[in-house]
Amino acid sequence: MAEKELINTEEQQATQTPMLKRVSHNYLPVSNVELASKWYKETLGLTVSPRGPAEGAILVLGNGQWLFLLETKEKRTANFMTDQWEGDQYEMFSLTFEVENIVEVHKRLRESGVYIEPLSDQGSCGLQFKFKDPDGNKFNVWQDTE
Amino acid sequence: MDEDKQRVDIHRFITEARNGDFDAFRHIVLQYSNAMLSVAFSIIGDFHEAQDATQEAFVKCYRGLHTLDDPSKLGSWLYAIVYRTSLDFVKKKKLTLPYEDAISPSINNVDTWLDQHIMQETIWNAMQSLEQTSKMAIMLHYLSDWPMKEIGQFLNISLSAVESRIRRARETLKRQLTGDFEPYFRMQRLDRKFEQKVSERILRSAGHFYIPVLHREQVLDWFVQHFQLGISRHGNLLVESGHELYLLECHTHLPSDLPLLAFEVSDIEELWHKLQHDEVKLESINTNHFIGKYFIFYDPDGNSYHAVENRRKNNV
Repeated sequence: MAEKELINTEEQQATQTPMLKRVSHNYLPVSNVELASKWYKETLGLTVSPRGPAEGAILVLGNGQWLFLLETKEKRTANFMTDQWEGDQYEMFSLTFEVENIVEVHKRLRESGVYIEPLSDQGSCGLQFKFKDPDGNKFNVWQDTE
Repeated sequence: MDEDKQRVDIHRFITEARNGDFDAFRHIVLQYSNAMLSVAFSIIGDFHEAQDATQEAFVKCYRGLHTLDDPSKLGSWLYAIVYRTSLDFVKKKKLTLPYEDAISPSINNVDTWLDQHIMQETIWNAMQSLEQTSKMAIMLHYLSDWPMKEIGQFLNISLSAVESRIRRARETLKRQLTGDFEPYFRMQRLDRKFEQKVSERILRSAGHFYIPVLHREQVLDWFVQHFQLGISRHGNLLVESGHELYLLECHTHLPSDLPLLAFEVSDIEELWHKLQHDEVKLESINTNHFIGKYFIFYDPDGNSYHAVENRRKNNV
C-alpha cells in the first residue's frame, strides 16, 4: 500500500466510527437442529438458549455472541472454496473461535470423533487447529499465547 | 445429603471432567462456587472483584484439572488456586487502580449500588478484627450450605476450630454492626447463572469472520464507503468491536440464501435510511421474536447480512 493511502486509512479510522458495532451472531446450516445443539452443548460447553425458535437454536458464546443454528433441507455448510488462504481450492472455514484452553478443547473434539486437524503452533500467532462439526461446517480454533 | 455418596459423586465428577465431560465440570463449579467466593472475598473485600477472581480461578482449575492426581484433594487444590488468584487481584488493584475506580456502578441503579457499597464497606471494616481463617470461615458459613465439618476440611482446620471460629466471628460482627447484616451476605450467593458464566468463558468468543466474494477490492471499498469500517494492519475490515472480517475470493460464488452474519448496529432506522439513500440493496425493517428489529442487506456480490439492533447481553 502506498504511503499516502496508509495515511488516508489512518485518518479515516480516527475520524469515523464504524456503523457496524460488532458481529451479533453467525448463521450455521445444520441437518438436524436438535442433534446439532446437543453436540455443541456437550462438546464445546456452549449454553443452548431455552428460548430458541422452533426451526433453529441459539447457542451462546462467552462474550454474548450467538451461533444461530438453522435447519436446512438440502445438505450444505457455511464453508466455501478459495485460493486465497492455503493453496488452491482450499475449503475455507467461516469463523475462528477464540479459546483460553485450546489443548482441552482439542482433546474434547478429538474424543467426540469429528474431523479434526492436529494442533499447530503458529509462533507469535498462537496455537490453532481446524475441525468440522458433524454436519461438516469447518471452524478454526485459536488461542493467543501472548 | 449422604456424605459418602457426595464424596463418591465428586470423585466421579472429577474423573469424568478429566475425560472431557463438560457437565461434570459444571457440577464441580456449582458445588464449590460459594466456597471459592468466600475465600476470595476474605482476601479482596469486594464482592464484585471476588466474583471475577472466582471465575478466573475456575478457568485455571479447568485448564489444570489433569494435574490433580488425588481426587480427595480437590478441596484443598481449589482453595490454593482461588487463594493465589485473589492475592494476584489485590496486587493488580493496588498497582493499577485507585479503589473507587476498581468498582464502577452499573449506570441503571446507582442508588442500590451505593447502598450495597456502603454496606459492604461497613461489613469489611467490621471483619478487620478477625484473623484471615475466621474471615473465611464466617463467609463460608453465610454463603455456602456446607455443614461445619466440610467447611473445616476445606479450610484445613478441625471441626471444633471451625465451630468456635464461626461462633466468635458472628459475635464480633453482631457487636460491631447494627442492623440485620446477615441477609446481605445471603444475597451475594452465587447460583447457576454464575456457573453458566464460567462455562461460557471456556469457549470465549468467535474472533474472526470469513466472507466469500468474487471481487475483494470492490466489496472492501463498499464496506468502507457505506459502513465506515476501518482497515486492520493485516488489510482486513474492522468492525467497532475490533473483530476482523476477511474477504476471500472464490472462482465461482453462489450466494447463499442464508445470511452470513448479523451485525449489531446502534441506530437501525438511521442506518436503513442511509443505505436506502446510498442505493444499497436492502429489504424493509422487520421484527423477529429472537433478534428483535432487523433488516437484510446485500453486498455487491450478493451475500446477505442482517443488521440487528443493540440487544442487551443477557436477554436470551
